[in-house]
Amino acid sequence: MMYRKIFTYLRVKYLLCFLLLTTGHLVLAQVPATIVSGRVNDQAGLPLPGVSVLLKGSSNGILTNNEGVYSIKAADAKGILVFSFVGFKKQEVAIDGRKTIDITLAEDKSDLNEVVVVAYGQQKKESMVSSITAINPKELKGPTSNLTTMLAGRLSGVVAYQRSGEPGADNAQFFIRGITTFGSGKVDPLILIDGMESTSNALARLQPDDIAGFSILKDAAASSLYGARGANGVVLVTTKSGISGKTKFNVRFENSVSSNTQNFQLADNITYMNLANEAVLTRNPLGVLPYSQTKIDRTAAGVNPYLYPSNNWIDMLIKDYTMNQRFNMNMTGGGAVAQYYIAGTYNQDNGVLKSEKRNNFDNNVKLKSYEVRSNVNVKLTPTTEGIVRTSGSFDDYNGPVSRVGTSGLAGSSVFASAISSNPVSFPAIFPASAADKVAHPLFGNASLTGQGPGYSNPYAQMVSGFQQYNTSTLNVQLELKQDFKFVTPGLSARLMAYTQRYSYFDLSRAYNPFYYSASPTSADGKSYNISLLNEATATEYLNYREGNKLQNTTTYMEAAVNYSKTIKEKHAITGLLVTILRNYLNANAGDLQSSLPFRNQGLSGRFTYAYDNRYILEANFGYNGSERFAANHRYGFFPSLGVAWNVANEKFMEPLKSVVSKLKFRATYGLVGNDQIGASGDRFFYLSNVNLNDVNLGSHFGTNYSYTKNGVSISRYSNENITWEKAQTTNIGMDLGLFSSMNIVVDVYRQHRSNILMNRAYIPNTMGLSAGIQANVGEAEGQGVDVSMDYNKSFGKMWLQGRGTFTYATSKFLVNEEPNYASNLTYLSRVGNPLQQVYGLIAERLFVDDEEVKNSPYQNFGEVKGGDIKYRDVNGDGQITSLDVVPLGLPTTPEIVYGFGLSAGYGSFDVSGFFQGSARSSFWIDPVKITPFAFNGGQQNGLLEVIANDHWSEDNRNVKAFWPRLDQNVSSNNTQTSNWWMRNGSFLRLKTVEIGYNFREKTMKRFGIGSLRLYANGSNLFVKSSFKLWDPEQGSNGLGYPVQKVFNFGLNVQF
Amino acid sequence: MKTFNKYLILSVAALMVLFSACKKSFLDVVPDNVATIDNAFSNRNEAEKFLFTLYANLPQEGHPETNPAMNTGDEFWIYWPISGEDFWSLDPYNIARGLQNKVSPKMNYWDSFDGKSMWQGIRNCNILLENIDKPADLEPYVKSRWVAEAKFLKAYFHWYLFRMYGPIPIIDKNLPITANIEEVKVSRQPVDSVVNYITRLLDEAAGDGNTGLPDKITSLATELGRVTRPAALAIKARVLATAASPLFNGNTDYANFKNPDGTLLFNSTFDQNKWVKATAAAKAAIEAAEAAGTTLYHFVPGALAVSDDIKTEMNIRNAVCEKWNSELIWGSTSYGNPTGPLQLYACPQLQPSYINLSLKGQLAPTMKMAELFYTKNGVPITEDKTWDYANRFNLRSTTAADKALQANYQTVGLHFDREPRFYADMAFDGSKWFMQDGNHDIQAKSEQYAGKKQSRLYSVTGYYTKKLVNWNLVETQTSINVESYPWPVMRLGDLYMLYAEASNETGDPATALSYANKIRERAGLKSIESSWTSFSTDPGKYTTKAGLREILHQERLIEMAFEGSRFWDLKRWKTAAQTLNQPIYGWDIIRPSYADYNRKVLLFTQSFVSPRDYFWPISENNFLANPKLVQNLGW
Repeated sequence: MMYRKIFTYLRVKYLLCFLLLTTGHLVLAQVPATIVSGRVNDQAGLPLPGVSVLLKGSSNGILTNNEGVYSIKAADAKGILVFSFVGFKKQEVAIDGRKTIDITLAEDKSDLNEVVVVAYGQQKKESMVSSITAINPKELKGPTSNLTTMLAGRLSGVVAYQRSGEPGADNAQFFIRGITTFGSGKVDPLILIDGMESTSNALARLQPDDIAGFSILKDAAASSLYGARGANGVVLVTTKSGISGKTKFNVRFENSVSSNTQNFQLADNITYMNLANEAVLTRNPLGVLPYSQTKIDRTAAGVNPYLYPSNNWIDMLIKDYTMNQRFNMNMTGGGAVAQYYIAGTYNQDNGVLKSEKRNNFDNNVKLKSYEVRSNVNVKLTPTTEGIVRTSGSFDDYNGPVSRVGTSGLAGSSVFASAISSNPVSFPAIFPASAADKVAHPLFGNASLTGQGPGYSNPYAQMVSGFQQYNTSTLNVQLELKQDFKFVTPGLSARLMAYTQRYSYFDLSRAYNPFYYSASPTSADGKSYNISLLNEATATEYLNYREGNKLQNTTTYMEAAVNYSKTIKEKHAITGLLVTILRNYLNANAGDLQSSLPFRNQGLSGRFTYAYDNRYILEANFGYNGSERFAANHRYGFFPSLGVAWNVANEKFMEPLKSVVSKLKFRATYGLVGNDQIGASGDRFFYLSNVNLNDVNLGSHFGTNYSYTKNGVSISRYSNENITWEKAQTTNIGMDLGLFSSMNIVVDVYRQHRSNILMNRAYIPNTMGLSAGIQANVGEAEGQGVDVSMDYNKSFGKMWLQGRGTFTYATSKFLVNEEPNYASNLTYLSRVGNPLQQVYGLIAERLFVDDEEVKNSPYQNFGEVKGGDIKYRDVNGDGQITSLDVVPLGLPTTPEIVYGFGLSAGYGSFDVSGFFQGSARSSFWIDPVKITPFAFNGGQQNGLLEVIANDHWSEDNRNVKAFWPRLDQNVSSNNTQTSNWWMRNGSFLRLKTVEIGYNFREKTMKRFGIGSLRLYANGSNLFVKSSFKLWDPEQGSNGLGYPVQKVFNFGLNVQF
Repeated sequence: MKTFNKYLILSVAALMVLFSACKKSFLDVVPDNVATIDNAFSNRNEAEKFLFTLYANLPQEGHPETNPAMNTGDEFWIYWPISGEDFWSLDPYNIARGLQNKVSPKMNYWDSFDGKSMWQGIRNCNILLENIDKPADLEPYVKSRWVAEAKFLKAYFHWYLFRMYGPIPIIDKNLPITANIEEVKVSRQPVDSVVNYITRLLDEAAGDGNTGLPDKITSLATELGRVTRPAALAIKARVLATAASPLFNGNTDYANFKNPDGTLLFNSTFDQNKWVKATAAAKAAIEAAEAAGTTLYHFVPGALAVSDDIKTEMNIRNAVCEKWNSELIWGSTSYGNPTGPLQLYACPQLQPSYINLSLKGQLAPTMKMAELFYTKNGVPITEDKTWDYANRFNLRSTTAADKALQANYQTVGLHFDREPRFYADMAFDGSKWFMQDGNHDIQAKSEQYAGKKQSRLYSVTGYYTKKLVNWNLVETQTSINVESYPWPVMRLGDLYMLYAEASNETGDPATALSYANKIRERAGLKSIESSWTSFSTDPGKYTTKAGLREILHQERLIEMAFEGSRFWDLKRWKTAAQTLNQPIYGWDIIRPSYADYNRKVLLFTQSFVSPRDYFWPISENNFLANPKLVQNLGW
C-alpha cells in the first residue's frame, strides 16, 4: 500500500524512462526479438501501474500499464529483466526462455528512495536535513468534502481544530507548530499548491484523489527559501501529473448521512416561564412579572398551542440529519510526447436546517462545489518539457439570509437564534385556517409597544428568504523545464508563471414576513383570533439585497537554475537558485493605500553537499522584500544551515542493519520572516494614513447648520523603521527505522520570534493620538516536539499498518509591550506566559447574600447581590478592578494534538480506524450569549437546561451553582472574563472508521471494470470529554453550527 | 570541471541579472501624492477642514447622553430598565445610579466617549497652530481668526477636563510621536496653574477686537455656531467663577492631594481675589456681548394673539428654544442636528387621538425640581407666607382662574400658584402645553394618552421637560417635524447670574440684585427686594451676604434648570453632597385615579460619596502607562 506515497517521484522517473524508451526503440528495432509480457502486482494482489521494466545491460525499458501489464522486447531469451518501482524492492528476474513472467513486488520499507516535496523542488527523504512532515495523500481521505478537517492528528507538527460544521464555513483552523506570534498579522502558514500561493479555502476544496504530494515545512532550513513569507511554516501540495498509457479512469462516488454531533439542550418552557418570573423577582421584589400564572397553567395544560405557544426552537429549526454526495472522477493517459491528468469533482453539502413547504425556494444550506483540473506535460524537445496546469474551483452556495448584525454565514446564526429567541410569546407560525383570503404564511409574533412586532421569530427569519454566494477561482500555470545536460550534466533550468483570479459575490432575496399576534376570544383561552402587526412593512413579494463583490488577481513568475552532480561517487553536491516576482491586486480595496498592488520579490538558493550518504550539509537562503516597508527596510536576508548524520550508513552499523534499518540525526538553524504583519488596512507603515474627508469629523455651521465640511482623521502615524517579523528556529531531529517495519521521526525545536509589531504601551492618552504608535518590539518563543510513528507489516495475505502522531507546541511571551508594572502588580505581565493565555478575574464562588457583598471588596462591574460571582481581590486594594486579572487556565489553542490509528487487511477486506485528540487547552463559555431571558433588540435568550437545573436561587443558595442569581438582564458583574466560565478543551474522538472490500480484477473483468472498491466509513462518531454542553471541539463557538457526525458509503471504480 | 563551471556561472549570472533588474522599481508601488498629514495644510480649503475637525472634537452638549451634566445628577430620572431603542448610551444614567467606577469610567472624555477624547481635541488644536503658516492662500485676517478659534477650543477642551477631573496636565505643545518614554509621562498641574493657563488662552483668543475672534458672526448662513469674542470672554467668566467657588477655592478636602512627586494640586487657602477676577471677567463678557447686540430674550408673538401669561412663558422657553435668539452667546450646532434627539426624549404624547412612538417623553424631571421653583410671589415654597406648604401633596380642584392648569381637574397643591418658570419648564398631569398649533392638555395618568401604556416611552416621575421642546415641533400620526435649535452652551441669562453671584461674593450686593432682577423681570417676577419683603418668612434675607448667596444660588438653579448647569453648580458650590444624597421621588404613574396617581413614590435613593464623587475617576489603565499621574480622591 505504500506505493501511493510516492507519486511525486513518478513524474521524474517517467521522464527518464520515456527517454530510455524513445532512444531504446530506435536502436533495438532491427534485431529479431522475443516478446516477454506479464503482470506486476503488489503483495495485496493489486496491479501496479508504472513499474519500470528494464532489460538489464541495455537501454531497453518500458512501464507497466494501468492493469500492471507490461510487454517488452528482449534480444534473446537469456536476458535479465529488472523491475523497479519507487517504494518497492527492486527485483531482477532471468527470462529463462519464458514468454510470460508475472511478478509480485515487495514493498521497500526502508523508504530509501522516497521523495518529498520541498521548497521549489523535491528531495530524497534519505538526504533530507530539514524538518518536513510528508503524508500519503490517501491518509487525508475521509467522508468529508473539506480537506482541512482531516489534518488534525494526522500530520505531526500541525495544531488543528474545527470550530464549526456549517457547509462553506467548516474549515478547520491549522497552525504549524502552534502560533508563535501575537501580532495582529498573519499567524497561519503559507499554502502553496503547485507553487501557487493559495488560501485555506482552496486547500479545503482539494481532492485527496488529485494530490500527488503533501508536505509541511516546519523548520527554518525547510522554509527559509520563502524568506519573509515562511515564518509560520509552509504547506506544500503538488497535484498529480499524467501517466502515459491507455487512458485510465478512476471514479469515486460517496453518499453520506450527516448529523450534528451534539445539540445544546434547552429547558422545557414551563420551567422557562417560571424561572423568567424568578429572574425578575429575585432582583426586584416589586418587579412586573413577565408571565402570568394563567399563561403558565394554560401552556402546561396545552389549552391552545397558538394562544399559549410552547416552541422548541431546536426542533423547529433543525433537522435530524441531511444527505450529502461527493463525486470525483479522474483520467490519466497519454503517449510519449504528452501526458495528461484530468480531474473533475462535484460535491454537494447540505445543511441541517428545515424549510417551509409553503415557499417554492429552499432556505436550507446547500453548498455545491465543483473542481476541474487539467495537468498536461508535453515533451517539447528531448530536453525540454512544458507543463500546463489549469484548475478551477467553484462554490455555489444557497442558504438562509443572514440576520442583520450577525457575522459569519447564516447557518450559524440559525443555530444561535435557537437560543436567542423567546419560546413562549408567540407561535412560529399560525395555521393557514387562522386567516381568510391571505396567501402568505402567518408567522407569529407579539408586540411590546402596542405597535409592530417586538420579537425576532427565528423560524420566520430562517424561511423568509435565501442568500446565495458564488465563488470562482481560476488558476492557469505554465512551466518550462530545460535540461542543460548537453552543456554540462546535472544542470537544468525551470521557468514558471501563473495567474490566479478569484471572484466572489453574494446577494439575498427575502420577503418581510407577515407577523400576526393572537388574542383570546373566549375566557377559557380555547379560541382566538389573530391580528396583523406589521401591515406597513410586510411584503408578499421578495425583496432583493445586493451583497459584496470581491475580486482579486495574482500574477507570479519564478525562474530557477538547478545543478546536481556526484563526484567520485562519494561527493554529492546540488545547488538551486530561484528568483520570484509576485503581484497581487485587490479590486474592492476600500481606500487608496489598500488598492495599491501587493508585491514580493525574492532570490533564494539551496546548496547541499553529501559525503558518502553519511554526512550531509545543507545551506539555504532567501533574500526577499515586500512593498510595505520603507525603501531601506524592504529587503531581508534569511539564511539557514543544516547538518545530518546518516548513522545507518556507517560501516559499524552494518551488523545491526536487520534491527536498525534507518538511523539519522539532523540539526538545523536559521532565520525566516513574516511580512504580513499588522492589521489588514496597515499597508505602508512608513506612510501616515489620513482621511482628509472624514464625514465623522465634519462640522456644521450656519443658520440651519447646513454649511458643512468634512474633517481630517489620522488612522496611522508613519514609522520608517517598521519591518518584518523574524523567526529564528533551531531544530534537532532523529529518523529511526526498526526491523524494516517501524519508522519513528522525532523533532524537537525552539523558535525565537522577534520584531513582532505592537502598539507602544507607554503612550498615555494625554498624548491625544488618534491611532496607536506601532513598532517591532515584541518577542516570543515557541518550543515543542513533533513525533510520528508508523508501523507496516505483512503476514502473507494479511497486512497491518499502524500510525501515530504527537504534536506538542507551546509558546511564551519574551518581550511584551506593556507598562512597567509595580512590584505588587507583576502578575499582570504577560511575559513568560503562553501567547494564547487568557487573563481574567479569579471567581471564588457566588456571594452567599447581600450582607456578604457589603462586607467584601467593592466589585467595579455593575450591580452585585447575593448569588452573583464573588471575585478575588488579588492586589489587595479593597476593590475588584481590571488590575485583579491573572492568567487563567491553559492557552485557547491546544498545546497538544495527537492521533493514532490502525489499519488491517486480509485478502480483499480492509478495516481502519483513527482516533484524534487534543489536550492542554481551555475555552470560555460566553455567558452573555446564554444569559437566560436577556432581551436585546427583539432577541430574548432561551434557557439552557443546565441553567434551569443548577442556578443560585433564594431557596437554594448554592454558592457553587453553574449559574449565578438569575437576572433578566445581562449582569455585567457576572459576565466578566473569569475562571467561572472556563472549561477544559481536551477531548479524544473517534475521528474516522472505514471498512472496505476490493473486488479483484478477475471478477470484475466481466463487467469491463478494472477494479472496484466498496467501502463504508464514518467520522466524528464518538467523543470523550469532560465537557457535556456541546461538542468540545467547538470551544467557545458552541452555540454555532455543530461539527458533523457522518456515516458514509462509497464506491471507487478503476478501469 | 572548468567548462561546466563556466556555464553554471553564466546561468546563475543570468538569474541574478533578472533579479536585480527588477529590484529597484518593482517594490515601489506607492505613487506620489498619496494623502499624508502634510496635505491637510496644503491650501486654505484643506486647512479649513482641519478647523472644522477641531469643532467636531467637541462633545455634543445638546444631547442628554453626551452632555456629562444632564442625566448624571438629579434633574431628570428615567424608567429602568430602559430598552435599547430608547437610549444611545447608558453611561449618564449609570452615573446617576451610583455605578461610576474606575475600571471603565462612564462618560470617559479623558480616554474616549462618543468617539471623543478631549486630549485628541487638544492635539488637533496644536496641530493646526503648528501648521497654520503652511497654506499659501490663507489671508492674514482669516488666519488670525482661525488661530484664535483654535486657541479658544484648546482652552475649552482643557476646561472640559478641568471641570470633570479637577487639576489636569496642560498640553500646550504637542509632544512628537517619537518622544521618549519619560517625556510622555506628563503630570497633573495645580488647579491655579490650570485656571491661569485656560484664561490666558481665552484672552489670547478673544484678542483686542481687531485681531482674534470676531465680535459677532456676520455671515449668518455659513458661520453661525462658530465662536466669537463675547463667547470667549463668557467662557472665561465661567472658568473664573468656577475657580473662585468653594470646590476649588480653599477646599480643604483636597489639602493633601498631590502628585507622586509631591506637588500639591489644590490650594487649600481661600482667596477672595479669585472672586474679584471672576466679577471683572463677567462684567467684561457682558459688555462685549451687549456691544455685539445680545439682549435678554423677549417673545414676539407676531400675528398670533396670545395672552400675557403665554407671552411670559414663551419668554422663558424660547430664550432656550428659539433658533439663534437674541440671548444666545454661543450655540452648539454639532452634527447638524444639535437638539433633535433631546426634544424627542423630552416631548410626551400631545395628541389624545393617536400615538407617535417617535415622541419618547422619557426625560422626566424629578419631584425635587418641581419643589425648586418659586411660588407665584417669587420666593421659595418653603418661605412663602401665603402658600400652603404643609398641604402641598393634597389634592385640589382647579378652576378657570388657574390659567396654567386645566379647568375642572384635580392635582396636588404643589402645582398651584407657582411662578411662570415652573409652568414654562415643566409639564404634568393637569397642566397645559402651548405649542405653535395651540394649547395641549397633558393628561398623564395610567391609560391616559400621555401616561404609561407600555413598558417603555413614558415619564417615570409624571413630569415632562417642557423647557427643552421647541414650540415649532409638529406631530402627526406618522411623522414628527422637530426644529432643532442650537444648544445654548452660553446665554446672556447665564452670564447675568454669574455676574450677580460673583458681585455678591465681592461685596457688591447692589450689582448682584440688579442683574438677578433683570432675570426675574423677564420671568414675570418682582424684584428680590420686593418679593422677599412682601412674601418671605425671612424678609431681610437678601440683605446679608450669605442670605443673598442662598437666594442667588436658587435663582440660578431655577433660571438654568434642565440646561446642564445644575450638576456643575452643585459641585462647585460643594453642596452636591447634601443635594445629591436625597432620594428621587415621582408620582404613582401607574394609577388611573386622581387619588392614587397623586401619591408620592420613592423611585431611587441616590448616593453621592464625598469627596469622591466631586470628580470623575481616571480609568486605571492610565496609571499603568503613566505612573506620574495621580487618581482622584476616593477612586
